[in-house]
Amino acid sequence: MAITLLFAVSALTFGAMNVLGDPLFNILGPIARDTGNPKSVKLIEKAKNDYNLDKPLPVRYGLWVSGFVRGDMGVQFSTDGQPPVTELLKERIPRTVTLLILGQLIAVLVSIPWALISASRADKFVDRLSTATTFMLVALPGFALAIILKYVFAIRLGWFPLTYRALDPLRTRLFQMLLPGFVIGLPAAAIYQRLLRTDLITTLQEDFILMARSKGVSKPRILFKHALRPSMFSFITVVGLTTGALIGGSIVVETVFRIPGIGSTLVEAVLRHDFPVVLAIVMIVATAFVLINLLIDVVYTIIDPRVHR
Amino acid sequence: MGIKERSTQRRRGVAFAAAALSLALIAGACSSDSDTEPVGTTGASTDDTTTVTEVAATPVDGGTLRYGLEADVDGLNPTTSALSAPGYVMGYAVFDTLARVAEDGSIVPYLAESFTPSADFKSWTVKLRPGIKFHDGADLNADAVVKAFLLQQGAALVGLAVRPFYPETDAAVKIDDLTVQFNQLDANRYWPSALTSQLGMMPSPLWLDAAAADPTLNQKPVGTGPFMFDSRTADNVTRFVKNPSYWNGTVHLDAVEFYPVPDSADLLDLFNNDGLDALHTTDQTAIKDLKDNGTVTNLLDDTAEESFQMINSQNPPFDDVRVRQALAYATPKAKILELIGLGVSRPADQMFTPEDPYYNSAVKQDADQPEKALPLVAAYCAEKGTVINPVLNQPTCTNGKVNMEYQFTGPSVVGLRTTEIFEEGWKVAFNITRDEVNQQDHIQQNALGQSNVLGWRQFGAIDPWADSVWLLCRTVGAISLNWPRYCDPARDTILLDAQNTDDPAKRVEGYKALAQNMHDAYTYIFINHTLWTNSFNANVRGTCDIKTPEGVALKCTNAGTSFLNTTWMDQ
Amino acid sequence: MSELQTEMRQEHQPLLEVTDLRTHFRTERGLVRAVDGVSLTLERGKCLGIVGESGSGKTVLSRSLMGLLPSSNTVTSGSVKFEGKEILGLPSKQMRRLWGREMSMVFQNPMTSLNPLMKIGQQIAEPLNLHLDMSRADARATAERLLRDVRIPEAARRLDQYPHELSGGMRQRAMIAIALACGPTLLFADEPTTALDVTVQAQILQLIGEQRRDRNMSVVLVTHDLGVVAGHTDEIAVMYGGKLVEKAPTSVLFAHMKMPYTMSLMRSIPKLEDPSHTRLATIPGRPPDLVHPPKGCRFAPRCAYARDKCITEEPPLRQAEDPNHSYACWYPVGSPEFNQREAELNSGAVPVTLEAR
Ligand SMILES: Nc1ncnc2c1ncn2[C@@H]1O[C@H](COP(=O)(O)OP(=O)(O)OP(=O)(O)O)[C@@H](O)[C@H]1O
Ligand code: SF4
Ligand SMILES: [Mg+2]
Repeated sequence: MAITLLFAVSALTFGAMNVLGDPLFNILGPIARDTGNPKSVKLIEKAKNDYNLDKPLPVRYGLWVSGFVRGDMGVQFSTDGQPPVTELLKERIPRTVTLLILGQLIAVLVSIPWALISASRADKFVDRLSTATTFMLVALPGFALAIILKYVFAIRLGWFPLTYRALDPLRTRLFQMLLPGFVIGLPAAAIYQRLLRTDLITTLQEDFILMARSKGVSKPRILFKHALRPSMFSFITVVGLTTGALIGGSIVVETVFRIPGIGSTLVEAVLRHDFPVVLAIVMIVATAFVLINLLIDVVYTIIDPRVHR
Repeated sequence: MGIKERSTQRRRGVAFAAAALSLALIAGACSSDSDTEPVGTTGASTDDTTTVTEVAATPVDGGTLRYGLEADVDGLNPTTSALSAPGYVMGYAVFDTLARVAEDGSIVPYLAESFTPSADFKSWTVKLRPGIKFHDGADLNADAVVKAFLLQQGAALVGLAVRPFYPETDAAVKIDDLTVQFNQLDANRYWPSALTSQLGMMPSPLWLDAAAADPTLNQKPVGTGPFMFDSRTADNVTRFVKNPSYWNGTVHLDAVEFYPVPDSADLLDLFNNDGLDALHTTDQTAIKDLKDNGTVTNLLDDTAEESFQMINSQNPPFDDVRVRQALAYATPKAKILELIGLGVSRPADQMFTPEDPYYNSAVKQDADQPEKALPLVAAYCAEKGTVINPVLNQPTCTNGKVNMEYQFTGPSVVGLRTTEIFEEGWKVAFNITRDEVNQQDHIQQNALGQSNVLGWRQFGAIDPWADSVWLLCRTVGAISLNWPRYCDPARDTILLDAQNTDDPAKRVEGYKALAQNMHDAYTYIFINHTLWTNSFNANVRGTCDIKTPEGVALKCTNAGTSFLNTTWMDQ
Repeated sequence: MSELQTEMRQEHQPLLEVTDLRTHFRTERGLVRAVDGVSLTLERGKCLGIVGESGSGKTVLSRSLMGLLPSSNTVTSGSVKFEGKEILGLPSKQMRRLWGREMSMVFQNPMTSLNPLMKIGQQIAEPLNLHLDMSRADARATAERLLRDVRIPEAARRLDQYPHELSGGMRQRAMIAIALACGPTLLFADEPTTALDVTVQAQILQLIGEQRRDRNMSVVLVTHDLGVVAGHTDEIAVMYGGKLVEKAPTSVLFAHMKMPYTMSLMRSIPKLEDPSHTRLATIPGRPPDLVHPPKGCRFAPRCAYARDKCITEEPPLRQAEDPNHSYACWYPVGSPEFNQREAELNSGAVPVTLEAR
């Protein structure tokens, strides 16, 4: 199932990228279109041969697939000695993954207590205020939030560094990713909060919550021990599904905080029609997506003993 | 916050522009005049080329300088990567050039010891200083120079701007171990200025060989320069460390790190909040801030590039000078300068600034006279209104107005706003079809002549002869560096004569005539001079102390580039 | 009142003393008078059955007594004294000291009233930890003992099972075990058997009865089924439309019931041969609208013995022959008007006209 999905994604992307753009331009610039000039034609021929562009589409797809499964994602379409795609992504993916994990961690850690507070005071002032806040966070464009947080916490208060610096030691770099993590995490937290709050409110009306109250269990304990877990199902599903969307958010964040990850690389590669890069990233994202959702299934069974696999 | 752009494509954009234009001959990149730099205003400032005189102080060794750049580069090999301004700033750290520009504007030998022309000025013999070594231990000798030159000449993209001036074979010939003879197609008494820029940068031959086998080495340059490559993380930081055995004086800084920051507001934030010690930018808001900041050293320069609207004269209706002239008359230049500019950069009438000896005060860019556009267009449409404009695939005229396509890059808020203002003026006599394209297509279509009118930026040569690559008949072709595809043999004569006279007066006359000729052809509608700054925080010193071994003071900035040879940092 | 009398009263202080309890809900439709002026007392160790058809306010009453209703749209008034102390309107923070420890509740639906994601053992241990400060091991041991007390086989194994792994009857037993964990003095059982098989029903009721006796605990047994309470309660209170309409010791009630409504309930006791869950729909007509209750006797629209007075005047709670027996009816069973109508009905002379049909 997952494999079929990945094949479909790769074939679609491969086809689309080939229809959309002319990779030769990346390699040769305007020469790519200078077909009247025998010298240019020679260069074009050579480039097509070097980059396999002269082969028919299915053959190229086949070549790409066989390379990909062997861990070779091809070359970038460029004359400037950009590293091979595998190398490029090996360097960049850990940064984006770190950023996304941080973002998700922040989103989850922020949204759960937030939802608990809101749900336990449903429709009271605190809840209304937090509803307004979530709407604001979701409606605010990513870059605006990035700029606001950067201005307040990096420039004004100086709590966080302004920028990511690849030369720094790992711990420093992790710290540099914290603020970007919040930019990614907060809007996600807002969505999770809305969802979890609603489910919590529903759960809080369940009989077994009343039962727990009648046992003399305190309110916080009811929220944490009794209401939270049964309310987590759509929350977890959405956390899984959102991972894909967060990569979109990482594009902006990576740009604003100068984190050389795959988000910004993807945008550039799309604009350049550099499809080995685009394909590789799309495939990795799709694979990650599939894996995460498999993981989510496992999490379900951990949370709910009634789910059997 | 003002109008500004967040763009991830900028880095590649600049690189593409540069690649397409292949600036091997000229210091100062040109790029499409679209993205981040709105054009200037009428409020001309007279102190544009300010060199801040520093209090004499004894340089201190040590420290790491953090330098913010407007974009990253794709590669740092001068024989394969066309260098834009960021590429030059980094390039000058790791590479030296054969020649340099002195403070007085003359060209002086740098890696070279001397330049000697042949009697007909078609050949120049370059003698190298002995004993200079590359960072990898290789000797700087004639072989290295010939190799670098021939590679550039043959390079697909970088060679585009080299090839029009040199014979296909024997353009560079080794005479002896330290002597190289360069042969050109034309007589040129001012040729050594070519050696101040990318063409004059000397990379290690060992490294060039290695990079040919493993192109990823193009990211790890090896030269003779004051700094040696240390590490590079694309889109984040490129680090160079001190060359302890630099041939031209002591290098003070331990290291220099270059940070590409495409967003100019971010760039300024970093600079103001101790994230950077230096930066370069053309962003007018940033420049205004930097100028107002009393503690910052600003190396300002607007002598290099001009922003203009450019007309492709190959296709109807713009093959007719009346239509081009009408477009110039209808251009709302004053409004553009007022609304988009911020009183920072100066309006342009030609490729020269008023301080330039070649400035022709008689040449004024026609604009802001829409009433003059109407009869021209009326006459044209009456005569040729049914001819097809191949770019639009429409008749040249509809309802008595000329149909044209205006191409600009997007998505870009500034680009869109600028376009709207231009249209506001042009629409008296033109029906405008907008064509918003990405940077890549923009350059490609321009190079291949598939557009009518577009915004652009260039003419940044150290010596005006080198700008002839954009102007000569011979650079018209399937791929034209003569973007307007405008061939005027008389202009060629002016250009070739001006580079082959030793009479300064005649040279001045020639370039004045060139300005007039360009004006009359109406292929460029000049808007403003691009203002660059290279700015340094207060503790950065010695930014303008660079000299040749003979003690000749050198010009320390040009179009966003600067040298770090003598720079040092207070504590 | 003399000092002696006061002392006497304290000695005979009932466990629970409810006076004119009213529980109303503010809703969009208007004020729902779910409990409307209920007074009753419950002695230690006794079992009180509250009977009434669906919607009569039994659940609301029992939850009001225990203070478990949501505070947001609820208005309560009157008095609920537990061991002589007023507990009505106490904040849940204070009520929590009583919940589980002094009073606890067995809910109607064992399928939904146990936390599906918590092991049975944990659910039993929770109040033990909370109220008795038991260690984990002690709580576990106690939980196992409790499970054995409620006759769950393989008690040790059950501790680590989840509710879905248990049958309905076992779940209800488990719930009883939870409710009994801290040895409460008062147990509410809100239709504890409605969701269960008939055979299991009896066992559960028996279990509650045993535990009551063993622990000298008072029980409030809520049910819509008079048959259920017959053998297990000391006293029965019949509810209709939020009001107590008849109250008597069990034997007295069955022997001398006064309310035509109680009689209808009696008649609708499901016979053993009926399928379980047979509801009280056998009383024709609908229960009264609690927002706009009928002016006179609330049962009047459905009462075959109603006369004009019933529609205009509300019958007060009156004492019957037995001092512990009270009822609210103008024409109770045995009165001449009742007998006359009964005769007419039997002869078929008067057609039964029912408003809400
Ligand atoms: N929170 C509430 N808000 C509004 N109305 C309520 C609320 N709780 C109960 N009611 C109403 O109060 C009335 C009495 O309900 P209650 O649950 O006490 O009946 P019951 O006698 O227990 O019936 P059943 O046998 O079905 O359990 C019903 O009409 C019900 O709709
Ligand atoms: S008061 Fe009247 S209506 Fe009410 S129960 Fe008695 S007889 Fe029926
Ligand atoms: Mg009920």
